Amino acid sequence: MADESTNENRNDRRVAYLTGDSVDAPLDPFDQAELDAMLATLSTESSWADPSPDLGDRIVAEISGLAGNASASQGRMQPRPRGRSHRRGSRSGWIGPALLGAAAAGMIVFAVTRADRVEAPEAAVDATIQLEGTELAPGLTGSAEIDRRESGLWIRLALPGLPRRDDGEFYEAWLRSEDGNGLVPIGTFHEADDVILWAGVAIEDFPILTVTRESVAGPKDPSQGSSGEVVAKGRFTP
Amino acid sequence: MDAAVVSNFAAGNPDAVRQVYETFGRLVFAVANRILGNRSLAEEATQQTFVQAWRAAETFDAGRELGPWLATIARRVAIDIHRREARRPTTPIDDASPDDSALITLPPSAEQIYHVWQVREAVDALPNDEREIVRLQHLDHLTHAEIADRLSLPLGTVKSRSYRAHKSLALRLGHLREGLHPGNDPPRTPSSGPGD
Repeated sequence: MADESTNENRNDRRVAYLTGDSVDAPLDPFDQAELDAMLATLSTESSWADPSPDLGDRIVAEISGLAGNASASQGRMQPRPRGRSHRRGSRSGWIGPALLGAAAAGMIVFAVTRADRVEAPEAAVDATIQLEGTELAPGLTGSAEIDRRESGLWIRLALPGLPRRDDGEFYEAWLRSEDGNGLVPIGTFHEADDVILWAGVAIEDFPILTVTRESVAGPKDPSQGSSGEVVAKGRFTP
Repeated sequence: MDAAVVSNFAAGNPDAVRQVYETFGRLVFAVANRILGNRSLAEEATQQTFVQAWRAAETFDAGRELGPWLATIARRVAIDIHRREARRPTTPIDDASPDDSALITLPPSAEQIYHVWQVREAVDALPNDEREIVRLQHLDHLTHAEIADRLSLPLGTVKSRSYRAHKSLALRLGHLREGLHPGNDPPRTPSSGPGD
């Protein structure tokens, strides 16, 4: 009964604070912080604005159209080609512009040689990790092809659709041990349509591959480590 | 939200898309508008949010609430649009209004965004007559007497509606205090684990 009365008094004080009436006893700091945040939100124009009345129609039309198109092309949830067929697709996407640029500069032979050096022979790929976007990048799917080489692990990462990050912001890829105690940075990049990474550890010991959002930081800044903002994740299975 | 609606939303069923939009559209827009401070861009962000949610709906865990998931997508989409707009050459900075969203360098945190979402949700749940009084009081900074005059209502009616409305808001938003303890770091987003 006493608790009920205390709660009632507390609620009355909270309401009085919100309405601007005098409060007979001080609010506790947590209540006050909460109510101040609410008042700040209520006094902001953007908190009250409504979208245009036709926005719902536009969204329904766009999604219905996309769903119709996807359905016409045998379903949007059909997995996209992975593994070798995907690599062939990305190879043509990579080599095409490379050849074009090299031809303009009269360096066709060099370009082909370079492309062959970057591209691993298809038979050399040891394993492929399937990657999925987290809540920070829902719907994202991709893959990481892995080849064990003398220098270390050669990793070809493909996460098409990941929005580009620039101006001191970038992505970073990591390999993590199963128990979470070991974390190895394996490269940074702006976007991940086709990225080559290297790692000096064994994939069996660090089987979890993650991609995080990062920003430039000073050499001794604690944020030199992972931001924890994982956008995609996958696991190597032997 | 009913799992069947989410499932139909994932399939692109127009009725389900409309139902999800009618439930969450204004909340998504409020989040986007808070970040972007521009109606047109906020509408673009709202549209992109629903399209991205539709694309990812097959992976959505039906056991979870759809609202926080949409809020997370909306924040990310709006921040991406903000960055895109920030890269465009516009008017000299001296000409920009101090509250121009382009001058805000740090986007609101996920917690602040979810706070905006919940306040908007609580305000939308109020009866129209009470919501209007809350809006006049906090956005237009009118006193009860000025509101009574503006709405041609007895002062006592305005006071009683204001009391009911604020009591409802205070009760609905009481759970927000957990994320607002002074000195505490805000909780990380669900997908951000320690380490990486």
